[in-house]
Amino acid sequence: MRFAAYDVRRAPRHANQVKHVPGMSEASTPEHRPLLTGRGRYLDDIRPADALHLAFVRSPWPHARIRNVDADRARRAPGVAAVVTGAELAGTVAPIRAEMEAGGSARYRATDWHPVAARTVRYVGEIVAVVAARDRYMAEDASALVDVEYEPLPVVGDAVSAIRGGATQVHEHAPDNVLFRTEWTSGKKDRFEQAPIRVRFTCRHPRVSGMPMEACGAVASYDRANGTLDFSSSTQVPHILRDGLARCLGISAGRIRVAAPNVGGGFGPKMQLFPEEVAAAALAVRLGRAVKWVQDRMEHLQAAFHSRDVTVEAEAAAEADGRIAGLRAQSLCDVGAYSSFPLGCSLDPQTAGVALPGPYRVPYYHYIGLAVATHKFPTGAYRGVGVPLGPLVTEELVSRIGRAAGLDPVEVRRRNLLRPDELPHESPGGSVYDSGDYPALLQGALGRAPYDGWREERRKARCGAGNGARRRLGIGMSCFVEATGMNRAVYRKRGMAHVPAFDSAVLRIEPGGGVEAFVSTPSQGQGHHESFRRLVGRGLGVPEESVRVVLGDTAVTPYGSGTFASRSMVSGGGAVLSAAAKMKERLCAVAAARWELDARQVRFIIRDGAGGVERTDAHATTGAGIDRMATHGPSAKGPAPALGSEGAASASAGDGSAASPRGAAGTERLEIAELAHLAHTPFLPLPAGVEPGLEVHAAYDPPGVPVSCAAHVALVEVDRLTGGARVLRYVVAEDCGPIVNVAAVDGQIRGAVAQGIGCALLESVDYDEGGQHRSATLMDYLVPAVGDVPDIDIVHMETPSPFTESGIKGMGESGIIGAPAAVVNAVLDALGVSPSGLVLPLTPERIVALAAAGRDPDPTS
Amino acid sequence: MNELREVAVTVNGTVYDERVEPRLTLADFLRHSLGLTGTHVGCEHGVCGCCTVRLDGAAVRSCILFAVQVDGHRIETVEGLADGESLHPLQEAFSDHGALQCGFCTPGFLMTAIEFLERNPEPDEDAVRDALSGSLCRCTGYQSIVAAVLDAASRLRQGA
Repeated sequence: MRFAAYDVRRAPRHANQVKHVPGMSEASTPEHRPLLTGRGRYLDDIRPADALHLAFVRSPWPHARIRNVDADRARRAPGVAAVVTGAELAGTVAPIRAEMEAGGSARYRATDWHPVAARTVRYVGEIVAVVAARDRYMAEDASALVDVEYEPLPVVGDAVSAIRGGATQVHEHAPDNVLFRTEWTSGKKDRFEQAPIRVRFTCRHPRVSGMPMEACGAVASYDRANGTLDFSSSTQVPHILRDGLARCLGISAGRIRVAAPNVGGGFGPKMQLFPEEVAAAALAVRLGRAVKWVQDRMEHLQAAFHSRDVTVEAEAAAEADGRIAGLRAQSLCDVGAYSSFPLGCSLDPQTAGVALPGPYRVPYYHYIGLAVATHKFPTGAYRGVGVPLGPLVTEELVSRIGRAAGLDPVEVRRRNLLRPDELPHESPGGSVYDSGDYPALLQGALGRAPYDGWREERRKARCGAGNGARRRLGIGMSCFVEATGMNRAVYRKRGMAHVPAFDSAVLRIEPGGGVEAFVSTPSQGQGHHESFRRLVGRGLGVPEESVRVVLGDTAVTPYGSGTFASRSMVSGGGAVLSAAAKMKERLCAVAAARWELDARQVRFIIRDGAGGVERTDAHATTGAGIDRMATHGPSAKGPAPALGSEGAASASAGDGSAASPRGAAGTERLEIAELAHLAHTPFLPLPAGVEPGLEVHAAYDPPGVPVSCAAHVALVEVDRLTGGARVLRYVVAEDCGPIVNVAAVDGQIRGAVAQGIGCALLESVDYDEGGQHRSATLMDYLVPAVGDVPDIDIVHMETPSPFTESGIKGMGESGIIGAPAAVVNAVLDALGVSPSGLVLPLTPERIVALAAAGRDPDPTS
Repeated sequence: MNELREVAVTVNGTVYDERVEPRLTLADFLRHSLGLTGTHVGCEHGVCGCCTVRLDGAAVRSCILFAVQVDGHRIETVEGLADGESLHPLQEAFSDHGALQCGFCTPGFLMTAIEFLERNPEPDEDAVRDALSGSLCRCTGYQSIVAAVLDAASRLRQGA
């Protein structure tokens, strides 16, 4: 694979640097304009004439047999076109079912989740009937008239009671309620057992949800004459969604078009297949009319994919000098009533297990991960998936090791963090850590804080007069790694059968020279259009504004996985760069035909930022700065990966240091616009094997998994009397390799840290013991507001991954992986407590209870 | 309950005369009856602030008002903020600071901030954070939004 020259050094490096010149800012992008002026087009802005609006009749019981559904009154209600029950749909729609190829010791049980339940409901909010009416108001009116007779059954309200002997079974084929189990061991146990220091910590991450400001929804219309389904959805994964609909409806995927309009935030929940989506598609087919479902917030809180609900119980051992001897951990993941599509319920147990060893040397590791069914709504992905459990647990264990060994929290981390000369390193969690400088990241974050200043503030707060009894400051830190843009090998190892794990790009240069890029990883606000425009613009040497980026429509964008798991820049960006490399070959072939030369006698060269093809035969001047990648094998310019080294080469060409001038126009160099014309005119004869036009397709499976890394430090204020906690200051030092768009990277970090603060202090989807859902509004489920999130200072390092051509590492999830640990760590530091177990979020009640425990010695160390 | 009522309302300077159900929310009226889809509905219970519009100048939540309540009043929505193709200084500041990602909450933030800046032309950061505390953004972490509003205040003072 060969890649474009790309100058990483053009982007400003300082995170807080934003130029305030209208239209000139690093952060501004043309895609924002419609969104700023009220001209965006989100799902509910799609208004097909004559569409029927759906409302869902949902079970109020967490577990019940459906005795009877009487829809007669609802069917007679004004404006109602149809009411469809589970029994009526059962024959034509297959259940949602996530398959797995569980390897090794792993065990998995798939579940059948009927989009509309016919016989049994297994969570509060499960759909029992669908009403289609002229408008949403009428549909909701009628849904209240559907009479459902339930026979309530015993309920499994949490994971602990689910695995207790004699517990009620959620599914007949899972007698112990365990849907997935995995067990890994790495290294020898001896050192772990003999080590003098032993610390324990148990932490429960709450059930949370991505909570995008735009809830979910779909608009479906079916063309009976042609047998095609047009399906718009507020989705992150158009192709996976299309495959899922095809499976459930028994329609060939090629007859389904899935398009994502502007998507008002994704964060994970919008990558699962919703039963409502299947029902909407089924009704569109059945009724032959456009059907629209717009989820309201109450539905979203109840029945848009929840995440986490994971308890990790862990024990670490260390030598007297604080060096980790081993780690033993078990995760218990409450995945709700069904295994969701496409990832399945192994997601959290697998990813928590990968993450627990963190960026540390862990010579022995033993892990058991369990996914357990309960009578709650199914879980799916939310930014970070099980990975935040890694730092949450391990950072606290490391701090405790430090205290036991008499070491400062910084020193104990320094002793255990992997050094750059130890990379690549195969972690006992299964990832191969590729590159970066973990100790330098921690140092960078502490230096920016500055740590000494924070310690002084903390000391003053402890001795402060007046408020001395109440106000405490704590410092928390969190060091972590994140495997990003995971390739086919990773998903094969995980056994996840419905993730293609590659992405694709199509590049097209129009006769007039304009460039179109179609990429399989759509944007939900992350700025993909801008970033892909830069990759294409710099890769091909065309003005960025001449590049039109098209995303999120299976009718035009090529097949791929979509946007999740920090994969877009690695996998989608990799596909774009791969397509750009192919495009350069095509441009060379066209130029060679024009000059009647062999393709090896021409080269693609970017001069002054403009791409073109030059002849290199005896007739032409040769010069330095030639992009050898265009037509020949890998660069001879040294071992560094493509983005860094060739970027420099391209920059030198751009600086005018290359020898060959543009001279003798038309004879020695052809610009892209000229080549675009030549490729599309019938007057240029092309040799056999050279296709006319300029359109290339590249499917890309990242050759390795780039692992980004970061260190977070937080200064948190705690009021011991009221239990209030406030994050005062926050620093992130991160390394995601060469940065394509620093404004986008900073935006991702800040938004994700805010969500991580939410996980630590505010957010929780609650069910009572009887399985009743209690988080029905945004006054129950607390999303961080502007007063809950401080300014976040960011330090960048850029170490290219040696595993991919571009060296880019993903980073979309990074902020939420590190933040819960840093904040929790800081709260415990402020209170001077080391509880054996902790349940998040740290609400005021919990903090008051922790404060009451006072300065107890750590009972576990 | 479903008897239609007359509503005469001025939205962004245009007078509309519509017959609506009494239970129709102002947000749905703007979006579905008038086609002004710039106003977004994020929670339908008055918490998230996405649907904020101005009612006789005051920032209000259109999801918890009924259309019939604005009969005879003046409404401004995000669509009325720019002057033709020329962005309002507040919109420019949002663009330059990257104060939006997915853009769904943006109209609500803009309409909240514009009302605030009219009342407080020289705010400090605490005042801005206080003014925005009733609006939720899930993408940005707010830092860029606060910076944009402060910058917009300065642009507006300079008559930008």
